[in-house]
Amino acid sequence: MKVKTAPGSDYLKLSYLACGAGFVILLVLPVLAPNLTAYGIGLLMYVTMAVGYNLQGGYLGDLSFGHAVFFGLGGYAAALLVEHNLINWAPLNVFIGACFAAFFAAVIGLPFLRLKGFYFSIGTLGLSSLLLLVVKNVLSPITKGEAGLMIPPPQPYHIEIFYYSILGIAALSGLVSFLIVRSRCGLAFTAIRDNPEAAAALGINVTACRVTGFALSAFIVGTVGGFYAYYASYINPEGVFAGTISFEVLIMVFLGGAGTLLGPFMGAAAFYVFEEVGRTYIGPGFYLLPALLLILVFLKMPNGIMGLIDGRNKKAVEKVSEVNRAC
Amino acid sequence: MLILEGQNLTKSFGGLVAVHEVSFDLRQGEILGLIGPNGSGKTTLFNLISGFYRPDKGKVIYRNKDITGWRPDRICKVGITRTFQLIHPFASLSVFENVKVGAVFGRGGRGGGKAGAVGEIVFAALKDVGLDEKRNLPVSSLTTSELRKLELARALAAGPDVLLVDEVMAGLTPVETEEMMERIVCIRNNRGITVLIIEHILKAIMGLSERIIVLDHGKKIAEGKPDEVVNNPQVIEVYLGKEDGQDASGS
Repeated sequence: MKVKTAPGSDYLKLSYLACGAGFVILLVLPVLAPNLTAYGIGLLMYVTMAVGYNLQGGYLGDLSFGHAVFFGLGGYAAALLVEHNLINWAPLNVFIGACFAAFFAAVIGLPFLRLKGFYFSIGTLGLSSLLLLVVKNVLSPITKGEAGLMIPPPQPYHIEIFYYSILGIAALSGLVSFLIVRSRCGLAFTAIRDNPEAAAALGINVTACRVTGFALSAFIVGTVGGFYAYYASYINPEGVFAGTISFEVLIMVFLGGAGTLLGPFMGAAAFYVFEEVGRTYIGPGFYLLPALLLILVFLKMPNGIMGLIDGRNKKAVEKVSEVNRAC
Repeated sequence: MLILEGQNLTKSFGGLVAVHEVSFDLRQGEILGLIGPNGSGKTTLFNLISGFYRPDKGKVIYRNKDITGWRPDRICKVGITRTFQLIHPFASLSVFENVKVGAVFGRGGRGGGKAGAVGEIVFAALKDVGLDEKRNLPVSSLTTSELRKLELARALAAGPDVLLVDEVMAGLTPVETEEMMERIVCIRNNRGITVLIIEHILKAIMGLSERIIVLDHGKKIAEGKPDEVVNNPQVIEVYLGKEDGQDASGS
């Protein structure tokens, strides 16, 4: 049955159209503007990360402050297989890297997802610092520590191959996230985010869903990590486990609108342009601005760009607490 | 016929014994009321039955099966569904989608496998509580009494044999309370389910239940037909204080 169309539904249709048009432009970008190809790769990496983060942070409402962990694990797993002469076929390495990130998320998810709200966020923040140290110091005989790992780029080298690979990954991630959100799994995610107790009382296995969401999210972000390792031909602990990666992806998702299908696309695109322009024209001082942006988003538009477009259910949460106080 | 049975259920939080050695039985098709002053352990007992707490001692038996300590979602799937004292809607979903959660994940699961069945289950549940007209609205546009009905509809959509209702009339006007009572009796009659209901409004529960259990400080102090229970001296003492003025708080 169709849900009543929200007041902003015309704008919503427009934004779907805009995303479709964006995809078409990206499809022919290397032909139309070859010098923008590298920018396109950066943008698509951001988009994919945001899509992955949104599945858990947006729909399940489990805010991770350490998603760089999965970016780093995906990258390192792919790179280590090359370094130790085990497997070196880029698509397979990237896939194994992503699987490893997802597996890691599932294993740590079981204890971590016993934590609720802020405690989960702080836990993941601690985890990312811990993993940075482990990869840098504890495992340095295997990972070469701070020196990092070199990965010879696949031959023959064409930047277009990288471009269309990440475009494919981004499109596939978008499609998977769309299918999940529209399935009963997506309904369960939203129910858990809104109210875990009621969700459990109505027959949803809350822990299983949260672990699944965590692993799915880690898989997508891990894919980008593996891709990045090949694309940059180099990976080092500070570069992939850095807290800035975790927070940038969070900013993108909230800027676009957490828990909406188009939000991560909008947010990643807006943030990428913001960052590239800022870096070019402002210089190093620019790095203060993303933090400021996050504060502004939380204060002025908690539902992000999609909230401005769609505008549905803004006051729902306030209303419920009001009624509960009155009883 | 017995459908649900609690045996010597006990639950403590630190030094506080919230429920102490409480046994009860619920017969197929009846409405059993659960009353008692604030803090007497009613909601804790609900949490023990529905799997939100694990009892320190005692057992919950459903259809001759021991379900003590099961997860809430498993308990829902065998046919026991609860509502909450504080309203717990899914705030970002519409009324229809809220109830759909029960239909999709509850006992039938995916509406028993049929594609169109989920919609029918949701519609029937909304009709039973009188919210079918409002199905496409966001929950933020519902009134308090409608939110309570939504809570009930969602539980019904999960397809329970035993419905645990926690203070579904709290915050309602007398007229709304009257309507809610009628609906609960109707739902029981039409769906043939069994209801265990917590209620603060004595008048409501007297008119509604066939039997009543009274809790005080975690212990069961009385059980029986409504008129027996209201005339029980111990119950009167708990609710009104001692008659001869020995009780300082009552005089």
